[in-house]
Amino acid sequence: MLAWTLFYNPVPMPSTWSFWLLLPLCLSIVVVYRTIRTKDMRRLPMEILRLSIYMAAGLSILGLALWLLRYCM
Amino acid sequence: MNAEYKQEKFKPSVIVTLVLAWMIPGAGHVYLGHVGKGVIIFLCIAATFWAGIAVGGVMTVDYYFEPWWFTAQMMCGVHSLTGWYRQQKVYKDFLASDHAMHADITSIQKSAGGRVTFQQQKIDEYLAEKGIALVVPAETAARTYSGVAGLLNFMCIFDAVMLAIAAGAAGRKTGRETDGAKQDGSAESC
Repeated sequence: MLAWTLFYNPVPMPSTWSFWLLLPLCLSIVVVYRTIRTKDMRRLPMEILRLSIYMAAGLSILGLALWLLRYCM
Repeated sequence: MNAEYKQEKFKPSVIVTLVLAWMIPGAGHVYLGHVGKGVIIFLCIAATFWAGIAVGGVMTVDYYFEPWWFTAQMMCGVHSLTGWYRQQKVYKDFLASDHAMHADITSIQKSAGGRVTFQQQKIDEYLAEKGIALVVPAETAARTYSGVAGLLNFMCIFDAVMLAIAAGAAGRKTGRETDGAKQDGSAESC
């Protein structure tokens, strides 16, 4: 068995993981986007939190809609 | 001409801003005086890019098989160059091995219509032997993370360059003079 090395070998992951990996990716996008758009750095955490919730909710609704579409057809 | 007057007349170079912002994510903003923003951008983009490499391994940055993802990844400056260098070492090892008798890495791009060529098959076998072959779903996650990190830095480069142009054109104060006090919106001028 080959030794596993971080940053060299791929992580053996089940396909269900990819869905949960969306959340940190969304958070990263939100943090960078809000950081360059914010007018007041003190309000940044709240703006990030608000946009993260919007994005998670939007993606959930979109996912649900697509799942229903697939289920109904 | 006193020091304060000189400081007010600080006109950032657009080229320096562009190169810094590409080379080290967030460095363009730091150069313009927005240190807090630069640090957040650096940490966030570095974490996203290296999370992708951690998931996908050394073959995540792949010029030969994924040129479009590679283009996006290359926006990360030193991070992407490091990833590319590590991946190139794998291909050099491959060419140095016995497989090179049958395969030529430079001919991969000539394969038309996405067909799996004999050379590509040999490379896949070699990567599988080494335990570094990138397969779905790790491939999707890894390339998405590192590619999105590159695209995020592209957005930051654009923001920094627009700030530099605005600061240069107006000759107004940039964040350099106001650092430590309230940091105003960097994208106001965009």
